[in-house]
Amino acid sequence: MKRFILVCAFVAALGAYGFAQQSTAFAEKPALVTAIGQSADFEMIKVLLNRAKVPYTADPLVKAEKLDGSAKTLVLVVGASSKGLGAAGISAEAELVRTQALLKKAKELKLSIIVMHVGGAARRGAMSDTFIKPCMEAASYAIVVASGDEDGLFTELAAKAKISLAKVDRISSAGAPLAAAFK
Amino acid sequence: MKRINRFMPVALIALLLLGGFQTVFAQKAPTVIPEVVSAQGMVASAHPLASQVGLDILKAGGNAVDAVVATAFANGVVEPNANGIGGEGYIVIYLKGENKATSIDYRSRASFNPPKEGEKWPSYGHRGVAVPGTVAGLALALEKYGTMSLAQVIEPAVKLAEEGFVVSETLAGVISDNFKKATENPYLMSIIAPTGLPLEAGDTYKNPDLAKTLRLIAKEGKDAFYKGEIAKAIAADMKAHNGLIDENDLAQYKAIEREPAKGLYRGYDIVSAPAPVGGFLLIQSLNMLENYNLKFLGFDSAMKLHLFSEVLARAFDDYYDVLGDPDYVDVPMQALTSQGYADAKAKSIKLDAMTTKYEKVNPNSEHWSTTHMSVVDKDGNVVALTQTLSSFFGAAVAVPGTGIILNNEMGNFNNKKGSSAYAPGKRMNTTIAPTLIMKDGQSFATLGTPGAMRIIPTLTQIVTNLIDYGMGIQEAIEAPRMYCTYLQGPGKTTIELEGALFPKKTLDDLSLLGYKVKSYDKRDLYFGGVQGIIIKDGQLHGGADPRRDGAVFGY
Repeated sequence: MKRFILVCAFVAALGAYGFAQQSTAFAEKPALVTAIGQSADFEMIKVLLNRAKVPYTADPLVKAEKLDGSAKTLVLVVGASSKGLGAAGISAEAELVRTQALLKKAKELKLSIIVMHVGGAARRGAMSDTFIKPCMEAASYAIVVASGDEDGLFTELAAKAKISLAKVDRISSAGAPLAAAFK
Repeated sequence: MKRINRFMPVALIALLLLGGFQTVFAQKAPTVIPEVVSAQGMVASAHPLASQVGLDILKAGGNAVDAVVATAFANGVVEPNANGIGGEGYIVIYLKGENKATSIDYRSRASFNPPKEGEKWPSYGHRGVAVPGTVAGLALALEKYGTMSLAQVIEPAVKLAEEGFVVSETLAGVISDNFKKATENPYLMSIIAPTGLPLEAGDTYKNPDLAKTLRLIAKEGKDAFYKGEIAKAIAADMKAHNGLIDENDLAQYKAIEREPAKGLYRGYDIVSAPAPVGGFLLIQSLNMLENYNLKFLGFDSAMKLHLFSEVLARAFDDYYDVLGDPDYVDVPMQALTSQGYADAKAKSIKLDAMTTKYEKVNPNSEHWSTTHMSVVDKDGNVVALTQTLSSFFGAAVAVPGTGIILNNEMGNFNNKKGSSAYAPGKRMNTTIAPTLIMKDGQSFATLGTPGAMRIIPTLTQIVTNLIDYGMGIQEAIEAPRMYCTYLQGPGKTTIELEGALFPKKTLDDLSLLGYKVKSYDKRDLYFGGVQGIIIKDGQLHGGADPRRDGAVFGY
């Protein structure tokens, strides 16, 4: 009976983070956080990193040239916002070029990459998906609000990239797996 | 080659029209939200809780004005991003018993305290706030045309603010999108992000301070807001943060009853909000469109979208150069809404390409011969009301202890010259256009939408959807929309549209006509949130916009 309760508790704990939760902390500090698609979700991830006491630099428009190895982990807040792109003065095409260059440089520098998609279903669609795919291909770990994966896109991309995917039910719940990912 | 060029426009028109023919007779698709039909009274607003408040007032014996005022106060609580008592608006009213149409201007106005020389108004923060008009406007409408007391119509809003309501996906998205600017105002953060992170869908939104403020207005009337405790709190917060508004500005604010802007479109009377807002732009656009057979062009053809773009560009020529606060400048409203003036403007429109240059027409050059919440009550009174904070969450300034979120209307004066330029105490131009449509002396529709510069394009599309394409109200609201960036000047227009809902050919053809095309992959609240009611065969038909949380209730 005791064993049964322990097994149940273990399963429940796993369920709290969705599935395929990253089991060990892998990401080095400090982090560099950027917005891929210029959505306002970027601001919320800054709050979560502050709460997790992860030192970081935030630059929504950081370019590959700025990656010099001082940041050990790249946190990509993915999700497109037409308004955000407009306000930042960057087209969706130019944002994709910036993203691809960032991913290439991060790979050269062997940085860990954490993809965060916390905007749910509202932050999905053709434009967002254009950014999600290359980021997931290059990612070490992904944390998503479950309503953004109703069609299974993140699940499929995580399986293809052979990375762990944490699904949470709301933005505030994304803080725990994010904090746990850092050494 | 010359010969080919000569025939190019004809060939292009023929090619484009082919698309038009295909779509005119397209089968009607079912709507996402079912159209609501009822017999006695109906309320359409951007939030189901606000619509329910209006319906309850109608059922309790209130008239359309009582219901719209109650709906407006309630909507200010449940759609805090878009409106509220820190904002402003315009109401257009038709009183069936008196056969009278009137409107109430409760636009915000500039402080009498001047800015610094050459100062630009910020998009958020205290200096961008204009004197709010909502309380004065709603109180005036109720006093002149309502039957209930202010306390009766405010009470449901008090309850909503006190007990809270469930945050929808739409509101959660807007709070999230505006989180960054809110972080600069700790009191606003305590309302929309009480844990330090934005409220999310399913959370409960409460604003108990706003409940206290509304209760005070219910008890003491509008003077509580403009001369009493609330005025003092607003002025003190302004003073503490370098804002311009003081107690004198608030004490001097008045809502004004004005003659509505009127026009005629294909036999329908259009009654809309006059200067300093956008009703005339809608009427003028429709007047220009009256020169064309829209049904022949097709609903979703590139040529129709091109025509709308050309028409709207010409209408907006008058937005900055001619429109202004009628208490400060002479606005030739009769000329601006006349068929002759619109016809003269339409002459420079070419159907085969985007216009790169055209002569502007002066409305004063000769005498031109002629000239959104929606509620209908059981007596046939009809009201359209649009109110706003300007941007979502306005200036992102909430007045400590009051729960009031203030507008950022002052930005509407930026880069304006002539009739639309800043002056102390002046009301600024805006495009809001609550509108009524009459047919043969009977009410036909009440319409309105938010959406900043998309308001007039969206309303023009809705009116033509109803009148030219014979759509039902819900179908007209759900039909895909376009917007054109006419302010970039002739020849530089980008057409933005809900491209996934238009045929691909239409997007390709727009490029052929010379447009840049920006396509949205679904219905998007960028294109507004229309709430409307039409009256047909003695029945009320209500439509709500799935682009927001619109809801219609009737009985």
